[in-house]
Amino acid sequence: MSSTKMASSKRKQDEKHLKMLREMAALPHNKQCFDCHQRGPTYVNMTAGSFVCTSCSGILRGINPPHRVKSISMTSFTPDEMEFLKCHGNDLCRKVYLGLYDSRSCPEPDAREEQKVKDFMVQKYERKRFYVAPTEAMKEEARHMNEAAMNKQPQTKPLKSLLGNNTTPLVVQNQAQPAKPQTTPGPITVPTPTQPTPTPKQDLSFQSPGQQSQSSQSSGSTTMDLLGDLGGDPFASSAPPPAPSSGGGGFADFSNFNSQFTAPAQTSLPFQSSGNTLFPMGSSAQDKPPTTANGVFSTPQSTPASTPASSAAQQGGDKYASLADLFSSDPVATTQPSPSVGWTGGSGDNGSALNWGSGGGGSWDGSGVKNTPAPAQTPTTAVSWNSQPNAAANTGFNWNTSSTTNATSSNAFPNAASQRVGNPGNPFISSASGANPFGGGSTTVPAQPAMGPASNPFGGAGSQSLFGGQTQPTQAGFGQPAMAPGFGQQPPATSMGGFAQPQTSAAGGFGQFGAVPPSSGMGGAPQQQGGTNFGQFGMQNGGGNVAPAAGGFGAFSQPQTMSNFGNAMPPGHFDNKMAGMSIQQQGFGPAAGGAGWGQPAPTANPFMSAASQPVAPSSSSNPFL
Amino acid sequence: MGSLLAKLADVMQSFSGGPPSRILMLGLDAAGKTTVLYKVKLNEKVSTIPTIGFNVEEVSPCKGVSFTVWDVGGQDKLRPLWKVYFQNTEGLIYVVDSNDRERINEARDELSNILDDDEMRGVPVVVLANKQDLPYAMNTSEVADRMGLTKLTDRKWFVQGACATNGAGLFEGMKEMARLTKENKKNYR
Repeated sequence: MSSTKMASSKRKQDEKHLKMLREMAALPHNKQCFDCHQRGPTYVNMTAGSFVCTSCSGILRGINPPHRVKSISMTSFTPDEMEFLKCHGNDLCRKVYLGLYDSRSCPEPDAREEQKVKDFMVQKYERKRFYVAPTEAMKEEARHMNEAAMNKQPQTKPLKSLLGNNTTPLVVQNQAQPAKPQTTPGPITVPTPTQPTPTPKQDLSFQSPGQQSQSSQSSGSTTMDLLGDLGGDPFASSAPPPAPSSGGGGFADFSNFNSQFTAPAQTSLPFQSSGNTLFPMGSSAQDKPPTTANGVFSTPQSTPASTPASSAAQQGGDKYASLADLFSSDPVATTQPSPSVGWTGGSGDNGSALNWGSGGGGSWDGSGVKNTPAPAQTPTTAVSWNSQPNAAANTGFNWNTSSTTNATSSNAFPNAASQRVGNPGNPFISSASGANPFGGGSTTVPAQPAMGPASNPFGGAGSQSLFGGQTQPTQAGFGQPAMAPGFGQQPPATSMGGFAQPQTSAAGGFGQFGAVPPSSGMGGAPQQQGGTNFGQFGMQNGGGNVAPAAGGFGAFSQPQTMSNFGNAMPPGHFDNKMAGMSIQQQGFGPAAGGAGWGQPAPTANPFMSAASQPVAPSSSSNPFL
Repeated sequence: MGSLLAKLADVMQSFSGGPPSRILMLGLDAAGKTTVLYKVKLNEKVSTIPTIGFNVEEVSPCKGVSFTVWDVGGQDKLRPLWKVYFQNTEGLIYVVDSNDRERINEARDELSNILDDDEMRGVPVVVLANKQDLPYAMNTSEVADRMGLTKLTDRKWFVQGACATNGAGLFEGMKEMARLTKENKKNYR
């Protein structure tokens, strides 16, 4: 009897582990073979902790000393082994075994040339040419990435349901508040980073602006200037969306946005541009959140993110809840969202949490309770969302609406728009977070605060992901076409390009953003719907964005940002990712085309692809390279 | 006269090899079974991938010896399938990764499971202590000891150190296998 019991419990455990492994292998950063980038790893390398394909597993067995490989489906795993894998994964392995890797000096071999792949693996594992010793922090981060991804799925579902119910209310809000939201986008401070990069002082000004923004629109004006500058550069580069102009008249743009959004991509850019303008912040502050928002912002600025953040966070939490409610039921709630204070709060949380580092995921999870939370995170940025938000909300709402009913979406913010918005929003958010960071980051604790903000931005990213998540739910509602087109066309090029260009350093950040998302974050988000996505987003974005933000904001000096990048994500890493990206793009390419979208029904995929594409192309590759 | 003919037939058989002996090659995953098989078959170091299912090759490692070698995947969820291959097996080659001290006990337990099966009763075993080229590999006597072979009394067994990548020890192991199966056949008669 006991033996049969043991056998059945063992079988249950095996099944559980298998499920977890499959989920982990589906995470964006794990879904390609670590050694040859073939999609769909079927083995795990128990020596390095990476996910690999069958042929690479064969090679790994033959190098010296041999690596231990296990088939995901043909072997059983002990809890210790599962723990090990959770703390590793391809992302960590990239930082460790390719930590010093520079794709330009020594391109990764084509997966079809087995001998070259093998030689490269000898370099990588036997000689450890690119090896960087892993730190506990890296493992912790990897762990959060993996766990966040795995834990969030369930959470996301609720959001979807919420969205579905709430969609109509959201729409209403959107329409009502559109203008503000638009302004909020301006906050996207992101632009500011770009300017800051040029000179620290500007950054400082930014910070001050941030505060000002809180206090009043005046900050907005300052931001406007910045934006104008930024907008000019980025936009020029990005070209398409003159959105830049929007930077100047970010608000006007917003209005345009609505209209444009329907149009697509370009509009999205505007958003970003608008996002650039700090306005959002100001607006948000002005709107409702102001106090809170201000507080949040201020907190970061004045003091370490942690305490304020925490308070903010709590508020945020409440607010989030409210948000959730809002989403679900009332527009009014939306107003609360605008308080996005929650956002800031969220950001604060993140900040305090450092969670990024540790676990943005964790924080996410916490927030995770509500899908909205994810948004909440975005919120920070999102907050701006909310504030913008109302604009954001609108967008968000639109999402919902769109999701629920495509028709509604057509309204102010077409679904596409919303999506786009979402993208921009994320960027914005990120930027927003950046703004926060600026406020707090610059003055105070740099890294952590930055992290916080960054995380928030990520949150923003998360919001995107949320969007993704929502979209998924909504997918049907959205009308895949709308989404796809939007993402594929505009977001990628514009948003990415815009960001990248504007911030040289920032660009890095954004670029990473783009880059990261595609490979990991975006992909992840899509795959796993809300929660996981968020988590991942947060993490990855956090890694990329945060670093940039911190550098850009805190340090302001470009170099620092670069260094941050390095830390957050090794250059090599980027390259790798880029490569990966490109690959993904290819794979997704079709989907991106738009035709794909419809078919890919799985929203996740579409999103993924969309995300990846946009990012990959415009972005990162150019800037980084 | 009859006995003379029988002897003649025996001798003829020893030269021609008769029908190939059915040899089963088992062992934990990544022990080197497939590499051994193709090193013997092709005298080449092939790059393998983890075996799902099995490989089967007819090999004649030395003059007058002909084996049909079944190389079955050793990943843990495949091991329950090993018994499907037990029937009519004349010899077992059990490949051990001498460098894998962590799993030597697992290898021992799996071997003992095999040998406990009714269909494997009396079947001679050659244990290939593979990967002797690695610096921390256990030597053959340590492998024999830790594999519990010293307590194995119900059949013939033999431990052969080997390195599948350069071929060292493989033919010695195969020759021994041929000798044991022949002995076993005679006794069986």
